[in-house]
Amino acid sequence: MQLYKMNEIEQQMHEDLRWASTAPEVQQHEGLLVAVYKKQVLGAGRDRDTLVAEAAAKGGCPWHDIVVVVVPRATLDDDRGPDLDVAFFEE
Amino acid sequence: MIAGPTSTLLFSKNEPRVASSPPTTIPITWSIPQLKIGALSLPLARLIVGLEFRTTSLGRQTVPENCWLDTGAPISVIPFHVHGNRFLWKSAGIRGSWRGQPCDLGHIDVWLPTDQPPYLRGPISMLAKFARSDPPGDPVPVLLGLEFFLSHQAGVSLLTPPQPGAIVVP
Repeated sequence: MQLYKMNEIEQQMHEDLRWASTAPEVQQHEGLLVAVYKKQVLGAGRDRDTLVAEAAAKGGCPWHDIVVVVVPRATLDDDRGPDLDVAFFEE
Repeated sequence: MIAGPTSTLLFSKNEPRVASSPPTTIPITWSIPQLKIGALSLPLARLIVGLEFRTTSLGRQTVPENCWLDTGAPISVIPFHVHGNRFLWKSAGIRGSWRGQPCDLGHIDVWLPTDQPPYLRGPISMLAKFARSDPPGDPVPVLLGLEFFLSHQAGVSLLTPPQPGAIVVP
């Protein structure tokens, strides 16, 4: 394997992803895709294309410079939306 | 003597490597959101690995994506929302499916993060299912399956949670 030096935008996106992986302002958007640019949250949503387009307009940046992070929902159901039925667990 | 299946041997071949190239260690981090149900608090853990993928975007060669380390996945999966119009990959001409969505088996170059930014190591080839559409429900990131570890003879070490683990690629 060869060493590869990231250019400026690659490095920025690399750092954005690392930051987003733990930043509370990102991780609060459970079950959504979160758009991040220069360590700022530009938006969150479920459709990536729409999210990135709107985030690029909001941030005044190229859409392909935006990092998108998946934030998992704390749920017992992998395939369902936000309304977890917890009745089964209640006594 | 027990002969193993030929297909296993095909997927276990290593790529040529430079003998002097040191092993690359990729961090694995724990994501442990808590599900609270009344007085009960359940940890719902996932293992996160950051990789860089070859992109079609102008002005750059790589884009970063978080992956979930999925030891239940024989082959890595790249959901449509992740690769669509962004990843430069090559189809192997084989169809498959993932969570009910049609997929194309293909290869993509990936680079590994190092502890000496802004440097990466690579590229190495990842075999993956490239989904043609996204399944219903919450979005998921790239699922890093076991074929990656077989084909690159990569090791995994996990310490006591939530200490970071590591993937070591020789």
